Amino acid sequence: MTLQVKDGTFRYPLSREPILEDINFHVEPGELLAILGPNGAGKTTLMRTMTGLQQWSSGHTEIDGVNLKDMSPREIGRTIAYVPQARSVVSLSLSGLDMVTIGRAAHLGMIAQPGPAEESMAWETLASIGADHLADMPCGNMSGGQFQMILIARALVAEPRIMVLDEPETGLDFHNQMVVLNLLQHLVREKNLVVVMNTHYPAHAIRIADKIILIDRVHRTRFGPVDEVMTEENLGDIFDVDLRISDIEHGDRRVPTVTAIDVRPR
Amino acid sequence: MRPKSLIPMPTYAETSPVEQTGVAAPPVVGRRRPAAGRGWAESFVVSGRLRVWFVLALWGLLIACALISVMAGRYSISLPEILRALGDSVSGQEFTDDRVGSVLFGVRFPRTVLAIFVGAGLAVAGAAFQSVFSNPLATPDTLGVSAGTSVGAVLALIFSWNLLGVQALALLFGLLAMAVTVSIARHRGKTSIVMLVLAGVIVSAIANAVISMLKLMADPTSKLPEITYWLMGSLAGVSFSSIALGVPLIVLGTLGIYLLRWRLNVLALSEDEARAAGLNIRVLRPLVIACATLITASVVSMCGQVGWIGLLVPHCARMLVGNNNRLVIPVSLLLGAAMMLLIDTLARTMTASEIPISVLTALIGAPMFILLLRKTGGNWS
Ligand SMILES: Nc1ncnc2c1ncn2[C@@H]1O[C@H](COP(=O)(O)OP(=O)(O)OP(=O)(O)O)[C@@H](O)[C@H]1O
Ligand SMILES: [Mg+2]
Repeated sequence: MTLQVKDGTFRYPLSREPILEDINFHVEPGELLAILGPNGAGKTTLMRTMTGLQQWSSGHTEIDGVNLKDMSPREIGRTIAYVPQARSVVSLSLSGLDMVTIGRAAHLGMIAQPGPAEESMAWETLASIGADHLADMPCGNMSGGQFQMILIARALVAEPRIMVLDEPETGLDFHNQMVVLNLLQHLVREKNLVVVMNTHYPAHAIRIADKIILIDRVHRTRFGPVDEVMTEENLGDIFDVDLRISDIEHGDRRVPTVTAIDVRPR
Repeated sequence: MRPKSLIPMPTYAETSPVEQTGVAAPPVVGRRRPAAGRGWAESFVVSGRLRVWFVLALWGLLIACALISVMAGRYSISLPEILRALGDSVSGQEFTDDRVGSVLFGVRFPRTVLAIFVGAGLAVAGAAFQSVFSNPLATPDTLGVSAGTSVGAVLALIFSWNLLGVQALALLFGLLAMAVTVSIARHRGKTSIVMLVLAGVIVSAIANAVISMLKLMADPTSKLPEITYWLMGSLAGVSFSSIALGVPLIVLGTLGIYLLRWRLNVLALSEDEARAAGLNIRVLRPLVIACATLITASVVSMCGQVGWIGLLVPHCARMLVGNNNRLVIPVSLLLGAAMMLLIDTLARTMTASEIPISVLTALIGAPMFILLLRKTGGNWS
């Protein structure tokens, strides 16, 4: 399924300047799009708008040529899975497994209850990302990173065609960061999904992304393939940081690294 | 049953991230949830379901409370007498004991039936409000719905409308109060726990002021005592005919919430998450609110304000079985019915004259709630 945004402009109610203006991009199945930019640039805003959680002021999102507005909430729920950035756990929290099972909601009828099939799907998904020890823990007792793994499992269990993740690896330990990156790479390469992620780690983007959107502090965007966009010059400009991009060789693998040298005066 | 296999994924946790060159790895198969229950509610819940003995115990409690409610009273009736009277009525004979028959069918049975539906309904309505607003303090009382419905009911009483009219006007004002509360509390598309409760306090205050004005205008010889007594809440004086008018609405609301009970888990998440899960929250949220308000309105029009049940019972249920509404709703339903039966029985047997229900629910409910709060630290997660 192709995800495409055409001439997307978004402004928050009561604000004069649009946060996002004339955004155009498209992601094909088997491609990973990473969105980078400083805090407050509008990354979360872009994700929420392109997935229909809030409406474009003008322009629109298309999935396989169909305007998102013409799809039912249920259809959208089956197609797109969204992992939010907010890590706040609501009161009255569920156990990890119950939380993951919620991912099946779009596949179940309005008054249907999840059965053993849903439960073992949730269970296996948790196991596949190495988080099955969280199944019985109330989400309210989890650490930020543990809860993040639950949210990722909840998105996976929905069997989406498009997965949208807001800073999925932020707050995770070194191991889990790799788990999540490998998982996303797997979903894109093997399962042919469309994956869109926000990240604050340029090295992760270079490592797994195919396409990039950079958003700078004044909300200007640049969209393109990873090797065109992720240059020292571009990154230095949008983050106001002097940095170096290099590769570390390991056997026949090359792992990209991005090292910040110092801040530039704004 | 073989679980439907999910998109097979490599076991990332078991491969070293450095060694892993590509993405191909064997899929996870056959890892199933172990048989153990879930930690904090292990004794009552097993792999996501209530244990059979626990369900039987809840039903047993309800039946016991119902029996006590039927037998106890100024005129106490024994179990054999009840059975004999029931037998008589089924076979269409004259009652063996006329007095037992008329007390049972004229007073005790209707009252017991009403208590069951009122308790179950209010408990379920409370649990539903708590989920929809993801707010452990949301109940018909705290949201101002009870007070709002009372305004409608008092108005209808002044107009001397029949029960159906009372219910309709109560529902209308209940929905109105709900809408006002939500619109006060909503800020930038979000409602905080504190804002919602504050808004509920405000709406209740306004509604109670309106009720006081209406009382001033009501006829002090006939209407005023009726309204005052009714407001304090009582299950006295119900008949099967008034039950037949009011209870179906309670059943309707409760059934709606019962059927949607798993979806309540999703509604309790943030709005973004609920929508991302494919829920049509613009339909589902108002639907659940309408069901819970319908229950409240129907209860208020039949027996006045019965406070606390909607707060207390769902929290007891959560302490027993955790926060999954799939279990909280049925447990609240049974516990609520049992609790209402007990309170009503106490209300009419403790002293020579009847004690208003709301007095008892507050006297019993408030200390119990403080105990709960102290025990859990106000933290239900
Ligand atoms: N509901 C809102 N109303 C008005 N302005 C908002 C609202 N939400 C966010 N903004 C503004 O929009 C801008 C972009 O916010 P957004 O959350 O998209 O940033 P972000 O790029 O995701 O940042 P971060 O890296 O910190 O997550 C910010 O300047 C923020 O103040
Ligand atoms: Mg953000």
